[in-house]
Order: sequence, then structure tokens, then C-alpha cells
Amino acid sequence: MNRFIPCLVLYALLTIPSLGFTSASKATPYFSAPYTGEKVQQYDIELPISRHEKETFHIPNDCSKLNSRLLEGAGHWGNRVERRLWMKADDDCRYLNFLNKYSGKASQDFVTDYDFYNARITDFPLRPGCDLNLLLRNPAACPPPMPGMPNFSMFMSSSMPMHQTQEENLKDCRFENGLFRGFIYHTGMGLRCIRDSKAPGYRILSVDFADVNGDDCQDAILRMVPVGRGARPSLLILPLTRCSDNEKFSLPSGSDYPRFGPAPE
Amino acid sequence: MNRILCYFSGHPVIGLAIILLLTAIASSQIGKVEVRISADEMLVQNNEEQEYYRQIQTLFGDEQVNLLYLESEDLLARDKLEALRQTLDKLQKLPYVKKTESLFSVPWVKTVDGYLDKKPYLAKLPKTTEESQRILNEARKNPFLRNILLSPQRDVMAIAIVMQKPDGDAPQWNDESVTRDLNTLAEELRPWYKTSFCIGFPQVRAEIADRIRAEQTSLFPLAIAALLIALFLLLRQVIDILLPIMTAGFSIVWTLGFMGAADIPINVVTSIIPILLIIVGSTEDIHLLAEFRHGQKAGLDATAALKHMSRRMGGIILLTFITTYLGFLSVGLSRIEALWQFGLVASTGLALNFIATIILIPSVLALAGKWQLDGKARIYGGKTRLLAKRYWEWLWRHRLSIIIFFLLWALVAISGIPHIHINHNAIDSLGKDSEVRKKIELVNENLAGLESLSIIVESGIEDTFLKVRYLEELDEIQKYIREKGWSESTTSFADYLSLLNAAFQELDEPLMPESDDIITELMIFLNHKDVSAYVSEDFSRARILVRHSMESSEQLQATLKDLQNFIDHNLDAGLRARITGDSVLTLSATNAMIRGQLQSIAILLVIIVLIIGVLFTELKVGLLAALPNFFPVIVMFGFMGYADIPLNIGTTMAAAIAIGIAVDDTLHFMLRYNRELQARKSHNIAMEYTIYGEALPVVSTSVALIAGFLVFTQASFEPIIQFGALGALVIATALIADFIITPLAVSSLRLVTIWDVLSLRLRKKVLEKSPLFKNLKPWQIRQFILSGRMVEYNKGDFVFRRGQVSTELYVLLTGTVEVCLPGSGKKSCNLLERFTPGDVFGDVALFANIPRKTDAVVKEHSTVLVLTREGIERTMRHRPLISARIFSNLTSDLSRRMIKLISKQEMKNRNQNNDGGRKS
Repeated sequence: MNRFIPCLVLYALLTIPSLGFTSASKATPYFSAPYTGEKVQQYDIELPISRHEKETFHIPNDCSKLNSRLLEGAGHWGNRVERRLWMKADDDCRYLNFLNKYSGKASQDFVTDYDFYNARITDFPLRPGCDLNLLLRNPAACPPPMPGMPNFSMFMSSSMPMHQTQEENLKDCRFENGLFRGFIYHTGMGLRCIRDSKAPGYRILSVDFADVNGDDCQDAILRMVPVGRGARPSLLILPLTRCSDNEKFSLPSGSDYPRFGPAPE
Repeated sequence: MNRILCYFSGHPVIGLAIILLLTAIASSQIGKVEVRISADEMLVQNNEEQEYYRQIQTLFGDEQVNLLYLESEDLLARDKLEALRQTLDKLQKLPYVKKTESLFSVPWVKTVDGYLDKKPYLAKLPKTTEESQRILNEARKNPFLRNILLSPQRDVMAIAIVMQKPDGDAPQWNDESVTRDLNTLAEELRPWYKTSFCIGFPQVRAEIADRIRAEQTSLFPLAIAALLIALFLLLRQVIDILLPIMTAGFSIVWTLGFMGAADIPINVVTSIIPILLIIVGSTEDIHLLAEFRHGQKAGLDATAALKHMSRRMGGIILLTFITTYLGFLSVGLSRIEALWQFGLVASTGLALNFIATIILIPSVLALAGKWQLDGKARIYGGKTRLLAKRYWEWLWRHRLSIIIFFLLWALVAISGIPHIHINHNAIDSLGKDSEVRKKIELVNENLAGLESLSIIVESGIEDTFLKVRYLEELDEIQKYIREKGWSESTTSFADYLSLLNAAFQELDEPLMPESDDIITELMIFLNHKDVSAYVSEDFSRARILVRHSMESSEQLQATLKDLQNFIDHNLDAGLRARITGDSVLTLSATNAMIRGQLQSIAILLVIIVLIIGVLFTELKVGLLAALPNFFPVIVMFGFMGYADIPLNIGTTMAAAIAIGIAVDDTLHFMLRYNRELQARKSHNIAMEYTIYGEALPVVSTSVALIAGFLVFTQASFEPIIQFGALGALVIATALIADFIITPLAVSSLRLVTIWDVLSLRLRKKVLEKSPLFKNLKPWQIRQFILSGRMVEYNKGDFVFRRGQVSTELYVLLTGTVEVCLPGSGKKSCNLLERFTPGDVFGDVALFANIPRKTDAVVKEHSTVLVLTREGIERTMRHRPLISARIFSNLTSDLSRRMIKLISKQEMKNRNQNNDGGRKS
């Protein structure tokens, strides 16, 4: 008994920091479980690996195995839905890799405390890759929207509807509990919005934090889905960073943004 | 048949022993008989349509469900839901319940914070009225709930109870136990819900089975009583009343034994067989007994009366049994199992009844027949004979008016036929007062109904229904059905995708995905198990499940035709669609049933025409005999049209069965007429005697049959009630037709039976060598001579004598006859000519129309065919070609005989001259 207690203390001293390090360095994002769509951190998925064989992958633990199978060409097996499920599992693994590309906690963090679920739209790049001024002046001069990223500029409207001309109807352009649905207008007071629960918009699914480009500055990675009539429920990703509290968010430079899902048909 | 009847008359103890032995054997099998109502028995068996539906059921599952119907003001009040949840737990524990579907289990497809949430609507019980209302409002948007498990307007919801398929031959449950359990559970919810009951096809079948059992105990004594009363009023002989009941009783036991051995259950239609046997089985008995009493009345003792009965009725009852048997058997030509079983069991029962009749009647009459003649059957009195005469005179006098009347009657009936509608719905058969039916009506009123059908759309290409273009095809069909308004609920894979799409796009109402991309994305979150009832695993085949409350087969037929038409004209060329399902199979069974029964009637009529045609050696006779039997069928169908009685499983049987029965009386009538005609020579007298002789048995059997059929009107199944009423109508009309149409039709005919032909075959050689029939074909000879009669003479008898009025000519068949001029003194006969078999005599005086100039003396025992002037004249009218040949032959024969006579006279003169010369 006398020897047992020091051993226990020693074990605790050795293991606790390592657990802390792991939790700090490895992101554990949420996923939508296949079939059920539930919010989960891990899931099992059975995928065809040949004409007659199927294999179950435990995501995210089996991401490397899944990648090997994909490299072997297994992703082509199965029907249309199964092939899409291959992609989904691959997307989730790639997202995990994207988050965990640079292990270790960034020393500068101006994003974690920000309430992204109620964020002002104006804090985000309206169209990643295009300056707001250029977008307002000459949108045609902007490069095309980056695939796989949200594009708020598509909600911008040059003319306001007649019944919404009252100034008081114009509100701050912001998410509310992770949802933005409405129209964006450029007024004398800057960008203003009319919120409309029937209008198209974006829903923030999750906000993960990681240093995705290894610049020692913590980044926030927002995953969104478009909502509203006609919206394709494909996952969009918006990595954001800033190096001071007063800055607007911008895309972290030098990171390879993973593109998810199939190419539009 | 004659021999069998005679045998049992002579050996009554053996007959009774056989009866008892058969009864003992049958009794050992009766225990195996069970009341079993199955949905499949009302459907067409082994057809392609059913096979296709089975495949669809394997692929997509059953359409049918049981519903626990609940109605209450505050449907989702917490206490109510808690009680309901307990009931659902109990339901799930029942061995035959596969699963239940309700607000507790149907997923409420929505997103929470962007993630899909498929928790059921009542995953958490609502705490406030507002929350309850919100859940209800949301649930009412779900096409898989609206009108199926939740009324859109009223405070009505339902729990769908999906049943397990019974495994093996001996399931642990049956409709009765299922109904009992479910009713108990529904009863437990009464304190919370204003209305709560379970309803589904097990309940319908259990109700039918219950009623069958109840009716077996109530209708059976009623049928016996009806028969007893009818027999008592007409026959007044204790043993004559009891014997038909006894034969029916034995045959019922034997038939039930047969059903037990053959594993044929008692169902809606086979349940009427015992009663039918009591009614129908008595007819042969009545005819036999009537003939027996007829013999006794004529002064014969019991043994002689039995012989008389056997000789006179043996062949006839065999024939009438065959026609009735065919009538019953024709019902079994149907491909619907219930009708097939009915045809088989009823015809077998009838055959067994016939066996019981031919064994029991002679046996019992041999033992007890002599004690029963009490002379109270006064119908055979002299007055009756006079009545028959007057009746026939009246009938003959007014024949034209009567024919016109009957033609008008037939025309009126025919004009009613187009108004007949079709209905083959098991639920309808329960009648309007049925509790089960009322429950179904409530479901039909507040929900989408219990009836269902499926539209299967397929392309044969994988992933077809993952494309908007093809999903829209499903949607178009659903829209069309909604527009037409005959269904409150159509559901498909497109609806599920719309729900899923609306959840992801965060829309208030379900919306079809706009692009194939969206569908592909949605498919990640779709478990095929959730939609296995609507789309195949490879997405090449989809089902639209349609729930409806159409009970009328006609409406259903018109609706399906219209829908098929829409599909044919609007569906994408790459897709094929087929409508199937319970409603479609029921409809197809209706059509098959009607087709089959009309076919049965036609086949039966043809068989009757052929049998009678062969029996009377002339097709025309068969056709005329069919008239009094076809007429009641027309009247019956006309009546159905006017009285709004639908064609259903009961009414379609009525015509075929009733014809099979009714034709017996026609046969009896015609055969007696034939016999009387041969005995009495005059068709008027023959007809009077026929009416007189047949009045009692035909009226007795018909009244007994009508009374028996009317017993069915006390049943609680509409088709059986209608069957009884129509059966009685057909028998009553056939009775009228038998005493009006049959006498008028057959009086113009020379009836020659096959038995006459058979007996004449023995003398064929004689007839063919007769100069009278030279160059005539055998059938022409038969047609001519069968209007005559056979007479036996002993040696020394006179066939005719000098001075008698000449009305007949004679064909000698056997023996020798001498025609001579009456002599004087010792020489009593101056021989003119000796006749041998084949020769014709007596013709000269007949055609000269003068009294006989000669005597015809029989020299050895002879058989003579006697042909009357009337008969010959009738042949001249009806068969001029035969007559021409006969007269030509007669002329030749007469000339030959004249020449022979002249030669003989010359020879005589020459001899006399020679004698005179010698003397001189």
C-alpha cells in the first residue's frame, strides 16, 4: 500500500500533461452522421471496397485506412449514393486533417472569444477573394466565387423592395443563433440588411479552432450550409483569422482550403 | 339407376347399414372443419396480377394496416399521451405486432442547429397546449401522417399497427385472438378518448366468422322449419316430410366430413352449403316419394309401388341430379378460391345427397312405406284432374296473349339489365348496421380510408429515382390523383425527399428538391430502410401508395381506368407504370367472378340444351326446354337492375345454381309429357295428365325451394341475403315458366326420348329392311316411328277386325300376322296375305278412310308398331322430306301388294279354269 500511492501520483503526473497536450492540439470536430444526419464526433460507415465486399470504417479513427482504400480506387465502387458516402467520409477525414495539419496551440488567439453564431456579416469577407470596395464598385471585376466557400455577396441587392424602404426596417447584417436569412443592401450607413425568414441564407453548422496555416495565429474554421428554397445542402467552409480584436476577419493566408463534396453537375 | 333403387328396396337393411357406415366415417372428419376467413380466398388465384402483387409486397411490404382510431378534443394532452404510450408498449409486446407507427415513432424530419433531427413528433411529451398544437400543426404537414394517422381538420389520430406475417401452417394467433386483444387495448383508452377502437381487415374477417357461426345456429333450424312446413302443407305424409330432412341431414354430415378431410374451411360462401343441401337435396326425394304415392294411389302395394317408383323415376332423377350437379359445379369454374371451394363442396354435397336419396328412400319406404298412406294428399283427387284439364284448355286458348305477356315481361326485364352495378367489397357485405362497418365509415370519413392501391413506376435503370425529372413524374401522378379527389392520401419517395429537402433548406412546407445535386446531397442522410416501402434499393423502381375509401367496384374501376389513361398519356417514355394492390386485386377478382359466373350460366344453358337435345334426340327440344330456364335468369338480372342489387359474390352464384335446380322441373315435366303422349296418344290429353301428374311434385319442390332460399334473407351478409332473395325469385319464376312456357313450348313438339331410341335399336334390323323405310336414314326412321307405340299381341289376338274404324297402320316387328276376309262356317278366315317382320299392313283402309274390310289375326306372339293417322299427319307437317319418302315407299309397297294380289287372283282364276276344264 505504501508503495502504491507514490506510484499512483507518479502516473498521474506523467499522464495528465499528455492528455492536456492532446486535447489542446487535436481538434475533435462534429460531423453529420451518415443516414441519420445526427451531430456526432465519430461514426461508423460501411462502404463498398469491391463489387461484392464492404468494409466498415470508424471515422475519424479509420481515416488513414479510408485514405488507403481510396488510393486503391475503392471510391468508385457502389451506387451513386454509396459513392457519395465515400466522398462524405473522405471530406470528413480531410477536414480533420485540415484542422490538425499544424499541431500545437497557436500563441496568438483573437478568434476564440468571438461569438461567430451571432457574428456581423460585415466582419466576414463578403466574397472571399474579392475586396468589398471592388465588389461594390465593380463586381464583375471580382474573381469568381471560390468554390466550397460561402458567398454573402449573392444576397446583396441593388434595389430595395418597395414595402421595405423604411429605414427602420434595415438592421445590422448579422447571424442570429448561427442563422442568417435575408437581403443585404449598401446604404449610406454601410451594409444593412432586411432579415427574412423565407429568404435564402447560411446556417453555421460548427465553429472549430485551429492554426490551419501554421502562422502561430489561431484561426476559426466555420462550416456552413446554405438554407432557403433551392439551396444545395452541401457543406461550405470558411476559415477566418485575425491578428487583433479590432480587425475584420480574413482568410488565413497560405492554407490549402479543402474542397468538399462532389463537383456541381 | 332403376336397379340400384330396386336393390335397396329389396335390401333395406343393407341400405341403412351403408348410410350409417358413411356417416360414421364422415363424423370422424368433421372435427377438422374450421371457420376460416381469409382475404386471399376472395381473390383470383394463381394469376399473373396476383403474382406481380406478391413480388411488390416482397419488395415494398404490405399495404394493409390495422388502425387504432382515437378521437378526443385535446388529442395531445399529457395524460392522454401517457395512457396511449402505455397502450403502445402493450401493443408492441403482442407477438403478432411487427411495429406500430404513430406520432411516437414517425420521424419529425427537421434540422436543429443545422443538423438533421429525425426524432419522432412525440419524442418528448408536450407540456403546454401551445406546444401540442405546434406539434399537431407540424405533423399535419407531413404527407406520411396527414389523413393516414392524423385528420387534417378534426381531432382524430390513429396508430398504425403493422402485423407480422404468420410463420408456418399453425400461427399462434388468428383473427379472433387479434381482434380480442386489440379491442381490449382500445377499450382501455376509453377513459381518455371520446372514441377509441381498433379496425382493420382482421376485425372484418373476425366479424364475418362470428356471423357465420351465429348464422349456422340460427338459419339452420329456420331452413329445416321452412322445408318441413312446405312439405307438410303439400304432402301431409309424415314419412314423406321426414325423409327429405333425413337425406339432407346425412348428406350434410358427409359433406362436412369431406370438407374436414379436404381441409376446405367454412367461409362466407361455403357456410351456406348445409342449408342449400336441405333445400336443394329435397327435390329428388319429393319426386321419388310422389311417384311412390302415385303407385300406391293406383292400388299397388308397397313393393309394387317401389318398383313403379324405380321404373318411372330412376332415370329421371339421375338426369335431374346431373343438371343440378352441373349447376353447382359450374360455380366452381371460378378462379376465385371461395367460389371454387363452394363449387367443389356444393357439387360434392349434392352428389352425396343423391347417394343418400337413392339408398335411404327405397330402404325406408321398403320398411315403412306401407304405414304412411293415409290418403290425405288430396291433390290427387278427381277435382285436380279436372282443374288440370281446364287449366290446359285455358292456357291453349290464350296462348297468344300469354306469349305476348311473357315477351313483354322479358323485354321489361332486359331493359333493367343495363342498370346492374357491380360491388364485390367484403366490407359492404357486412350490412349497414354492422359495428365494424360503422367504424370503417368513421375511418373513411376522418382519415384516408382502409382501402389501398399501389402505382409501381419503374425504368429498369439504377438510380432513376435519384433524378428530379423522374421524381416529378411521381409527383405528377400524385397531383392528378389529388385533383381528382378520390384519395386523401398519396405517398411516395418524392414526398420523403421533399420532407428531407425542406428540413435542410429550413422551409415551412415540404418541397421537392430542385436539382439532382440536391438529391445526391440529401441521400447521404437517407437510410433506405426509412423509404423501403417506396423505392427499391437500386432506385430503379418506385411505389406510390394510395389510400382511399372507395367501396364501389364500379367507381373503383372507372377511377383506375381514368388513372391508367392519365399514366399512359403523360408518363415519361422511359418509365413504365402499373397499378396493383389490394383494391386492384379485388377489382380483378370482381371482374373474374362476374365473367366466370356469366360463363357458368352460358355453359350450363348449353349443357342443358345438349342434355335435353340428346335426351329427346332433337336440338330444337333442348332449345325450347332452355326457354323456361333462361327466362328466370333474364327476370333475375332485370330485377337486380331495378332493385339496385349489385353483382357480387352471392348474387353471381344465384343464377347458375337456380338454373341447375329449376331445370329439374322442366325435365320432369317433359319426360312425363313424353310418357303420357305415348300412352294417351292425344297431345291435349297427354298435357292434361302431365300437368295433373307434375303439379304436386313440381309445386312442392318449388315451394320448398322458395321457402329454403328465403331463409337466406334472414342472414346478416348482404350477398347471402341477396342470394336468397334472387334464388327464390328464380325458382318462383321458373315455376311459373314451367307451367306456362314449358307446356306451350313442348305441346308443339313430338318428344322422343333417348330411351325410346335405345329400345328401338333392338329392332333396327327389322325396321331397316321394312319396305316402308326404304332409302331412309336410321335417324329418319327413328324420328318417324317414335311417334307411334309398340303393342304386344298373343297368338289368336286380332290386331284389327272387319268393320272397325281405320285410324292406324301397322309395322310388324316380330311374329306373324295374317290378314284375311272373314269366312263362313268352318273356314273362319280366307287368307289374303301373311305378314312377316318388317311388313306394313292396315294401310289400305286407313288411306281409303273406310272401315276395315278384313281381320288381322296374330298367328304367333307378335310385336307391332302402331302408327296413327294423327302421327303420320304430324310428320307430314313437321318433316315433309321424311313424309315424302314414306309415302313413296308406301305407294311402292301398296303397288307391290296389289300386283301380288292380282297375280294371286289370276293364279286362282287360272286354277279355277283348269279345274273347270278338267271337270268338263
